[in-house]
Amino acid sequence: MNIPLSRIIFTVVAMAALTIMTRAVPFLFFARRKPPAALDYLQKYLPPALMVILVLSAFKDIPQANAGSALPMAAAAVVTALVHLWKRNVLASIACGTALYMILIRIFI
Amino acid sequence: VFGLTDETYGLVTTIHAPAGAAPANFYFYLTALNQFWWLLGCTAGALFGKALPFDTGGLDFAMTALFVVLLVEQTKSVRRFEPYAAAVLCAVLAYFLAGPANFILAATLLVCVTLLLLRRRIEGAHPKSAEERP
Repeated sequence: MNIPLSRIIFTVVAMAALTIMTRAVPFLFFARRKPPAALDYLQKYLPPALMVILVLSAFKDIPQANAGSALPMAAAAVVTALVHLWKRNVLASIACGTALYMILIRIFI
Repeated sequence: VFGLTDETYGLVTTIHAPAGAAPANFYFYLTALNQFWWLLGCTAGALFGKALPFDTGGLDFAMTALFVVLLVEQTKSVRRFEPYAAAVLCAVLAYFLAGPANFILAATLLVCVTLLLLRRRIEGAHPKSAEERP
């Protein structure tokens, strides 16, 4: 791949500007007024819903013809959850789940 | 403000400034440290990522594993089934409506709308006094 340097720099600058904007806008907007109650409500109940979506998003790129390849992922996700319920150690849970997944995809795929 | 990362958000909403430290200072250093580690990790990754001696195929599952962990934590603090059920439904719907490429955006928008529609039901059964934040 041969992308001109100017284009790389432009892309980085554009992305940086947009990222700063997404973070600055809420602060600018609510600097002088209290956030509405609906936002309080979303702040509380959106995170669990978003986590469900993010977990499920791991499965979205699996082609439907090859649905079997979702099994290692599902198994590893379940083990991650169980390890976390058992030890409640974030790093241990992630390490166990990821290691299991890497082993499974090497054995079965 | 611009040092805001996901982890900073997670920490600030869970812990409180220790006694004897000015909260504003505490939050500032917390954010600065977080930013520093984040920067260090990204730089190290960019420099040495190519040089890793073993096959890293499947390592991206660490991301999914992190989300699983965060989801487990959420189930401990938000003990209502509606947000989870709504998210599953919206995710399936988004997958078939928008396809894999736009899945996350579509699912997020759908679930926002659904949660707002469910607001009366969720908050009605759960008065404001029962805030579950630690």
